Amino acid sequence: MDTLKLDPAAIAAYTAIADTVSEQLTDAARAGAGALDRSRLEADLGLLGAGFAAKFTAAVAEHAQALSTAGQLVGAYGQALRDYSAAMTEGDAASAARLAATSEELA
Amino acid sequence: MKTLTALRRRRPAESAASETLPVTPDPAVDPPMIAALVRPMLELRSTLGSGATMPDRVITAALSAASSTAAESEGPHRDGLYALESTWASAGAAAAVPAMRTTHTEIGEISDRGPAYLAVLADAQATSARAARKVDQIIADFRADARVILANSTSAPETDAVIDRAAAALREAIETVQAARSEMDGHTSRIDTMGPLTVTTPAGLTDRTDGYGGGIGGTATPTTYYSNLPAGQIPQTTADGQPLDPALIAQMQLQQQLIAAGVDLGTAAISAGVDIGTHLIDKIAETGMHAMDTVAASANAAISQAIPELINPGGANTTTAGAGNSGATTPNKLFDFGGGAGGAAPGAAAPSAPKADTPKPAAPEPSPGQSITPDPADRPVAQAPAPSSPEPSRPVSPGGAAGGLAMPPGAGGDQERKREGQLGVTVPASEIVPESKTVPAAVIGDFGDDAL
Repeated sequence: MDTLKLDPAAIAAYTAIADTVSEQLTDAARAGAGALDRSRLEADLGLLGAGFAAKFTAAVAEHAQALSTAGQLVGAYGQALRDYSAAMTEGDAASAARLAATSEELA
Repeated sequence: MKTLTALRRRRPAESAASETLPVTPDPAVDPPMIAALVRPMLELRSTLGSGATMPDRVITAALSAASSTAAESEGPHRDGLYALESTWASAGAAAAVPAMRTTHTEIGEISDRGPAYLAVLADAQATSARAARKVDQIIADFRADARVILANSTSAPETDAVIDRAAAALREAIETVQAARSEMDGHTSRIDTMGPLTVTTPAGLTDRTDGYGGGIGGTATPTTYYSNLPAGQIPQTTADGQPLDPALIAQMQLQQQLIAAGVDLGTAAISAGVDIGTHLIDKIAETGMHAMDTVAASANAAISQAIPELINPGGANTTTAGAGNSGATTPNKLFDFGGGAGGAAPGAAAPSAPKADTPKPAAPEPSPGQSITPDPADRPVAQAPAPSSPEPSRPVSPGGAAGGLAMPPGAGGDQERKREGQLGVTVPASEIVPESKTVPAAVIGDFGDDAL
């Protein structure tokens, strides 16, 4: 990697967004789980639609699960970036301090 | 088949006269014959759900909320990612950014899925509602026409028209349900074609996302919901161990129903009722005609099997895609209207059905809605149904006399034994009269020249 470029402010902006997105996706998953009502579907669709109701409910469950997973994933991205940014900033500052100390010794 | 338009056209003119005719005057109460004939149609109707035209609001609201919330996150997420990409360059960025882009794309796909689900659900509900409405109309038309027919009936051959009309209505209802079923299969397979949702978890993040990587794509296997369909619970032998002829069982039921119905038609109700009933039954017995197929094969308790079978041919495995390919032929033997030779019905159609489809003799009919939840305990091997179970709602007089037909003693509990010899047996008037108290006299006075 030729370039090493890091904008802690941009990272902080993204992690804040990631937190929000993660929360929204978690909310969406929770809301989607409210559609899991196979017995109600079967009442509406009758025996005729019972197979549909089963498949539909499975699909909705999968949907909610996928939203939840995506939410956790985005949250993890945010957290990883926060850690990364902190470590880089810390390392940079430590390097700077070390360099400053060295230059003082040389001076 | 009689033309129904003629019947409908006559209806207004007959309405005044019908006040004096032996039709139950309360429009909310079916005369017994109509009640018996309409029952299979009501059973069919009960398989079609609530009839609501729109999907359940709780479900749609939940799906909409999930999708819109997920979609709301998309714009800010995209903007944030873009800002990040343009300011971050490192080996870590090279590894992380593509994974984050992938996740963003997948989130978009997930939130797009909500509207797709809503659409297919709306279609399924529309299919169900349309079929329900149509069957409701078929039933209403049948009831109206049958009342007119009964109101004009002065002899047994004329009441046959009610059975013809019932057969037509039931056939139409079955066609409606079959069409709806194949539509529903199409909706179900649409869900399959949407494919699984995937959320790709980057390898480097698995330690942070423990537990929610993978496992998303798999579709939960529906439980074998239909595995509890009625099967084998029909007594196939008498208490003595003698095998029962399914056609005979059906015929016995038919006798009960028709004679009970005939009583209500009757004038000097007893003899007329018996005569009407025996007339019909004799006709059925000798020709194996329509009534055997419709009233017997459908109105008897076999319908509790026939309808689930009609809706979900093949039983337990129909929740998988492609359920439609196995269903086309199965119901036909259950609802064989004997379009061909008359002899095909009692002699061939009913016995040719698999054992599990044999008509349930004592007709502990499930009320609508119960037909898919048979009691596993209700599996007598060779035992007659419990005394309390048979046909509680039928207009059959208690104590074993079914409207002029002398049933064996203890008919309430052991109907399998009533095999032969019931026809034409006259029952004392006192046994019958309570059944026919709503029936004005002297309507079928000329009946004797027909059958006596």
